[in-house]
Amino acid sequence: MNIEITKLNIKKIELLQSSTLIIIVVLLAEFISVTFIAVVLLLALWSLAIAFNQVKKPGVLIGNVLAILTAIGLFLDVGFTDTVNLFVAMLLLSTVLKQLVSTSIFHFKTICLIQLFLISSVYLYQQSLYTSILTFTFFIGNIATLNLILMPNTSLSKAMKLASKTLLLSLPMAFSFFILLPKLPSFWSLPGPGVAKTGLNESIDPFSISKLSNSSELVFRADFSSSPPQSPFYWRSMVHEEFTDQSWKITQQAKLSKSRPLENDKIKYNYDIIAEKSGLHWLYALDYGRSSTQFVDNKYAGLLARQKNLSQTFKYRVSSFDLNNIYKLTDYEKNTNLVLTPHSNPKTVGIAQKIKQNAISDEMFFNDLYQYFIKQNFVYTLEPPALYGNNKLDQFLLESKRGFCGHYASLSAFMFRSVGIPARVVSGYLGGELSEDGDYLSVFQYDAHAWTEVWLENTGWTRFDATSVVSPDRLYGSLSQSEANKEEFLRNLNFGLLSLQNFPMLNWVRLNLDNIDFMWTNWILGFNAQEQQGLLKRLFGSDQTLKIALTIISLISAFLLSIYFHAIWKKRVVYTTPLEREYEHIINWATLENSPLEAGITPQKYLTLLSSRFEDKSKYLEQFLNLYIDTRYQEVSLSKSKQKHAKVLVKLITKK
Amino acid sequence: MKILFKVINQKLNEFLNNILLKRKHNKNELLLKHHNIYVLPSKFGLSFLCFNILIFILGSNYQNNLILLSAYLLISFFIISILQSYFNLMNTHISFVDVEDGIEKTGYVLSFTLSNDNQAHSLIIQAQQENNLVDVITAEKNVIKLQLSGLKRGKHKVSRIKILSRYPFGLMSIWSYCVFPKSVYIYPTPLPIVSHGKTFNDSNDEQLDSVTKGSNEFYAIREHELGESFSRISWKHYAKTQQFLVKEFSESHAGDFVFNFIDMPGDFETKLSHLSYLVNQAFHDDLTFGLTLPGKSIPTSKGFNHLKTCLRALSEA
Repeated sequence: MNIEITKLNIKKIELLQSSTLIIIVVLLAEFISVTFIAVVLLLALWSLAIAFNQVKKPGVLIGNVLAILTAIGLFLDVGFTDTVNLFVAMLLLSTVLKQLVSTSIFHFKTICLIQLFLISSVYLYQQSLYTSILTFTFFIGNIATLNLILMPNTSLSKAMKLASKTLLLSLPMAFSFFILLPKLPSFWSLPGPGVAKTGLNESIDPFSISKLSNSSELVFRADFSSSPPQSPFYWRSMVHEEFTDQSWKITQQAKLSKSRPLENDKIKYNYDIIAEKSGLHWLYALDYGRSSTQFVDNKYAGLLARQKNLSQTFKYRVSSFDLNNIYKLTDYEKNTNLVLTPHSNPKTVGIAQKIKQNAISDEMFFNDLYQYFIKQNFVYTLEPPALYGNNKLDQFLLESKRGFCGHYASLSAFMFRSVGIPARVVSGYLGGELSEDGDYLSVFQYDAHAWTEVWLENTGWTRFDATSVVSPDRLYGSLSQSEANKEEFLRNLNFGLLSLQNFPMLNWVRLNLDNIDFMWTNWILGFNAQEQQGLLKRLFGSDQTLKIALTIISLISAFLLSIYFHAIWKKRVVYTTPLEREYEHIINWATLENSPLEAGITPQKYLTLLSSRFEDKSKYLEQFLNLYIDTRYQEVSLSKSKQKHAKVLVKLITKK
Repeated sequence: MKILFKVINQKLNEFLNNILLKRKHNKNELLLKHHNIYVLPSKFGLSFLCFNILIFILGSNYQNNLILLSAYLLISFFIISILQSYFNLMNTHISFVDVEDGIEKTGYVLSFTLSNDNQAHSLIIQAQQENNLVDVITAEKNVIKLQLSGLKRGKHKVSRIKILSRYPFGLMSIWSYCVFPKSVYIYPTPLPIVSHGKTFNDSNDEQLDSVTKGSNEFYAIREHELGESFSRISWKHYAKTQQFLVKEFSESHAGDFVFNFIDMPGDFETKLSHLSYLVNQAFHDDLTFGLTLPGKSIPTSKGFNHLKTCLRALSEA
């Protein structure tokens, strides 16, 4: 079927499609290689220029040549390692190329379909509420394009209005599908897209943690269903047992191991954690954590890790047990946690041993070391001086005495090991910002923290955190709330709403936006198969499948019927003049009784005729006639009682 | 093979028109309601659904709730657009106005009106491989004239019209049929013929009373009158006699003309074509004429309706 679309409409379609594409490219820019994005952006801007009539459209030959060149560039640049990135990049490229050469209706329709797919793929990378609203507008634009293709003479605004009305109407049904339709498991396992790695590292060195205080990215949120535990919240993420001169690493053994059976199985607290996307598998828990959520591994030393979905928000439920859950160290564990590089940091070793000499037991050494840190005027700072050369710990301990959590953790673990007490560095997050209503706790990258765990015979693995004595107010709340470090913190922080927290209005905005984001993340993103099962069980009891099917069908039918009736209601006949409906009734009745209204007869004449023809109704007809004359011709207003009277008359007249 | 296909096609069409559509669509006036509107996804709609399923699979595989939500959004949108498309075409009123006969080459003209109390958008009228797009129909009656060609000479049933709409997004095709129970005649294409034989109608008593001014045979010479066009002067005579003289011509025989099929040259169709031309000319020249065909004979008369009768008889021969 060939219908000419006017030149004007082609421009509108091109405009919509190319602007959508440009914004999508910008959105995806941080996830796919920069050069590729730049090339695609250029091509998309070319399309936009064509839409504004600034440039001519390229011919098919140029289009093909471009296609080959860019395809080669794509394969060279993005590579085959990350299949998801490759796939999305190919989709982007094909869309932008097709747009450059599209001329016929068929082309435009194809671009629309591919763009639908492309818009959905944005969600692979970005899932925040704001992105979702933005992509919703993309859908509206895409659908409006369909309308423009079909109707050559509509305006852009009409098409957009129609599209937004329809899509908004489809939202309720979409949500009910979302809640009720059971979630299918993956058909085949695919790796998610690679994620940029801000955050903790598996290899920890003091400076890397202090750099994290720049970032106000959200790491995770914790939702304590019942009574929350006492502050401070030490969120354990990774355990580093291998010491090299520069840093502490996770042992291979720890990466592969699984959790041992619990010895002290009294649950201390239960809570939900909604983790944002991360470059690492490691998750977060208080003390000794255990989780039965699907796709969560319970690992060594009470740590948790996710098997998949690193690039997405991930919700899991944790039960925390006492940290002291191992009563005996294996020889292997003991030895690993005692290894030190020989001849490293001799002065530190010396001082540690001197303190140990004065202590009777390990526990006493533990306390003495705390005292040492207090008495020696150590300072906790986000901007520690750089240390050079070998024996950095010596320099830190004796000369600078200014450091961040990483320095203290590294130093303490070293000192413990040098006197024969097994010790390891634990990295994770400390504290968090409680929400306005106290519903949930938000933990950000600047809350990253490192501390030490030491093995004492009586209490098992015990936490030793020099920060707790050097900068005690850090322990409560988040780094953003710590008064002692406020200046430094704000100085270091990347610009954002948080850095403007001194303005109470902006802070209020930030907190409320955060609240909305939490609800979005919790309800929509965190709605996994297990939660759905729970919800459905509560709503329907056990016999689910049939009931769900019935509910879905009835919901859809109810919705569609309401639209149907609304449309019919809109088309109903509206009577604008008084008594018109009643007169209409009389006419209909009379027609059935073989006295139809003939053309040219006035109501007066007609009613008089009827009253002479139908003698048994004549008095009612006469009354109605009088009422009619009064209302229509004498401008007597129609009161409610008169209206009622008219209705009664009509009933009497039309009664058999 | 092709012929077989054509025959099957024709039979199918007849079946469709006469049996399936008879009850609901064989009317002069049609109001489109749920019982005579047909709703199906268009080809584009089907590919839309395919992409929808792909998006659903993408979301399921990555366990990504937002992609799943997009898939659900698009399918709900599809369902709602079914309703929208239906409401667009509903309550459209089609009524037959007129059909004008025509000849083979140009075809016949069918007129009918479309109206809708609430607006109907983007209607496509399909008749015999031709498509017309009507943008908007309002409560006013919109008269549509279709020029339908491609039929051979003869008496035909007015072809079936399909009224199709893909509003608003091209996902669904909503259509209905109109089979007006009227017939139309396609006349034979007129073929000019110069010399012709005709028969006097012997039973007619009328003399050669009227001499019509024609152009064929030389009849008389008269003097040139003042004001007459110089092109009519016979210059040969002027050369001889220095007088301005004008030749008068006339049709060689005045009176009734009865055109006979047998007298025409050529094969069957050509004969009809010539007769068609003659009859047209006769009407044009305001003559009284009649027609003799094998199996049918039309008495002489004058006027447009008589012409129509003759032409129709020619079509049916």
